[in-house]
Amino acid sequence: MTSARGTWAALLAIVLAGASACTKPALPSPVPDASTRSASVVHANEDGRPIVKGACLSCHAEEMLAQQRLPKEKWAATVKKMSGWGANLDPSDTDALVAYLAATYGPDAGPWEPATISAADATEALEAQDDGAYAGGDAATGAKLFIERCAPCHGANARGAIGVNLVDRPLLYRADYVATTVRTGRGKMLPLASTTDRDIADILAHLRTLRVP
Amino acid sequence: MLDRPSSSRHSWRMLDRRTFLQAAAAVLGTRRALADAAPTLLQNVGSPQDLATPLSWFDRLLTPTDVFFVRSHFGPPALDATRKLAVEGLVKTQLAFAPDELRSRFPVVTQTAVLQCAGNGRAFQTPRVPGVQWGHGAMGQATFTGVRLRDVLAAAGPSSDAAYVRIAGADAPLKPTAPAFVRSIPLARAMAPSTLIAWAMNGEPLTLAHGAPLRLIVPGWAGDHWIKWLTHVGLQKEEADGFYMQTAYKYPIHPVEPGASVKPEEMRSLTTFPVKSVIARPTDGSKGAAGMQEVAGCAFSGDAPLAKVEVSTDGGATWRAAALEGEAGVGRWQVWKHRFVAGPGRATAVVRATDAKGNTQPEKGAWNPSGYFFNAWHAVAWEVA
Repeated sequence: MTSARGTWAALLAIVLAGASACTKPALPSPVPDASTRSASVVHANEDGRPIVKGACLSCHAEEMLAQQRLPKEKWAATVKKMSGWGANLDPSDTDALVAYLAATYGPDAGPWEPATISAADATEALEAQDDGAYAGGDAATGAKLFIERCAPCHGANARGAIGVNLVDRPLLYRADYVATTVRTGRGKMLPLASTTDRDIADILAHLRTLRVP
Repeated sequence: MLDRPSSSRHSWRMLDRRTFLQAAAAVLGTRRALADAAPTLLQNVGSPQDLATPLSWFDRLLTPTDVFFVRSHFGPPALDATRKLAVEGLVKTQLAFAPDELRSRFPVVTQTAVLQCAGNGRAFQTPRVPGVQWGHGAMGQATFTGVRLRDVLAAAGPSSDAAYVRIAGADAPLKPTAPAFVRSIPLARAMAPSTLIAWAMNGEPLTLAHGAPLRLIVPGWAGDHWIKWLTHVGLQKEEADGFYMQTAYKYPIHPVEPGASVKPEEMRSLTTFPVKSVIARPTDGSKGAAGMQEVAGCAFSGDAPLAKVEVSTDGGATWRAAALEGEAGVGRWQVWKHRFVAGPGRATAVVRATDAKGNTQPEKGAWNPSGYFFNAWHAVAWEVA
């Protein structure tokens, strides 16, 4: 457990440092960086970190949590609401999650400022990309693969269960993003590193045929 | 020296990229070229996108689409330019239209309107409340082109017992156990001539982030009614069911103490947004030269056309009427400007707007449990040297 905790703390530090580096210009800072303060708070509550990843970050970007400044009872109400909506939260982890969120993003957590994104990047994030190595998939093969490998979490109809909805979404036309997510994981999703380019092409071909009734 | 440096409340590390580029370019003497080359948004949430427009854009009548704020519940569906709109429920004839069919069958109208998220300004609530922590940037004004919802409903023939129009889009929650984003508006609002089904914004086809191929336009009403990726308009006797109509987007019917919990029966659904004005420039914490100062921003009300915008440069002791530009209208913003002479030292400006029904911006925003409709006076201070 000790090494796992250390790994999470290190991972978080990398994430925070990365976010800081890519969202703010590299100018000398006369004041302590906000990420330093956040990271030290996280060290004191690191038990909650893996729960956040599975319960919150399957659907939300970290920023959605990081900009909240809520007392414990408001975090408890939010977690209860999200559990009811399908968050991947074991009931026995609820108290630890609420404690982590209240300690990390409580009323006294200090200022939060949004990062900036170029208008061009914001637009590009939703646009279809060339399929590249994932072109020409076979939907019938993809349907079988999906049932075997994806449906246990995403549901047989791909509308979401433990995993998120995959029907009629822009990410289906951003094959590189899908491939990276499949191979490195996200939130509760474990990496499926052995998934081939052909598998991804076939699964995407299948998913693109699905529509919400 | 610089006309729009960053707020003094922010450290240098917090400078946004646009401001940084402006500062860098001013040194190089090419500020305009660089600033225009790289417009930015404030990323409240990267995915699904909740992106705010920087305040400095609010000194003009139209907000460019690429810097127009984006609010997402679940993120968009895939782009499908032929996605059909179903007209259903209590109608004589159920109809379905592709976007092109709407365009060819009904009169096409273009109108200018403010789109504002109900939660705009939530970050200024004390105590803080849950939700996207918007500053001032979850609003903008654009032209929208489409057809009137009333013309489309008339083609289907509303039944006499229809009282509400249920409106839904193609976006789906990330988990099927989460509620779909579905709203309704009273039939009278649906039949108002300003309520449009639009396919274009600022003269260009809607982008996916802004609802392509079709979105509802409900001028004067908060953004939660402006359903994106519109696929269903259904006439029915009752309001829409579900969390987003029956629980969310509600406001206390009486003033409440900050931090109070409010019983559901003492809340009502949001409709029109209240009178509001903001200062786009100078930016809080900036530096400027002594002499003539120009303060500028936008002002609007969802209830009535603007009557006046007043500016105080002495902390609220005296107020002067600002000059207004643009056409007055309900849910339509006008640009205001005020000039005054300031000597060296700290200059301040406070703005408040009043609409034609006599509604005036309050000095303090009214706290409410979800942080909706913040509209307190906006004040800035800057150094004059």
